[in-house]
Amino acid sequence: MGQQQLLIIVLTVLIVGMAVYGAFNWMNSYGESAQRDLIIQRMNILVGEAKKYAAKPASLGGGDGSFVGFSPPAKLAITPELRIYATSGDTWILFQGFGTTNGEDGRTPVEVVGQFDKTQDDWSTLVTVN
Amino acid sequence: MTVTNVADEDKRERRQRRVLIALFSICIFGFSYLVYDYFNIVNRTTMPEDFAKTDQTVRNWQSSGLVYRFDALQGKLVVNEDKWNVMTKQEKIGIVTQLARYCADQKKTDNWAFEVVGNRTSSVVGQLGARGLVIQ
Repeated sequence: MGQQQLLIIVLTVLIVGMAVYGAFNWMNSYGESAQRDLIIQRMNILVGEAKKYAAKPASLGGGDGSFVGFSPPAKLAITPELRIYATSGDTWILFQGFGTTNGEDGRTPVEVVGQFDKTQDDWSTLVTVN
Repeated sequence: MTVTNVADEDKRERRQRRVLIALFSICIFGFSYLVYDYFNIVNRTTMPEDFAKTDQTVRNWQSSGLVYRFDALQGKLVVNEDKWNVMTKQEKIGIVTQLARYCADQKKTDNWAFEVVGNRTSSVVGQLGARGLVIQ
């Protein structure tokens, strides 16, 4: 076998190795990003629930214009794929969402933090923490 | 042994050289892209997600004068306000959320509670916890 052919084989193996490694990483990051999207989508649903809660008067078990006292329904917030915790104030509600797939650090699950602001009627913060 | 004429052998040689050049180019391009992407990510990162790198990052901030004290168990970071104030809101959010996550991991809890306090005025310039995410 000639030197050139040997070199071609080595380079091909190198490229295939790089491609396999790249594809593996890409699949992993796809899984992570799918979970983050799921958490964000669930947070949006929970914001809707929180708004409904705030819109109800206190006599009907609502927040009377405030998010204080809102606790996310367990069937939406705690599932086999994710856990979402909420902390609320008068005009804001802070969500911490945890997935099951390991995130960027490769050791702990994906995590998203989002704070919804009623005065802006939008997310004031929505960050991927892991 | 097969007999080939000079022209055919020449053609084969040229084809092999082209394949080699193409493979080399792909390797060099792929590797350069990986290096470029890595440094791009590192430069954009204020705070690494990897807990193993958190202590080193905080030490770097201490030597640069941004941070005076960091207590993971109390969930408290004492900073130089002048340096803190010139940071962008996104950078501050990154620091607060990542350190809150780090402290929760150290305390083995899901409840995140973290505070950034200014050294000069002792006022809270950033926090994540019972009062939500507040960044000054």
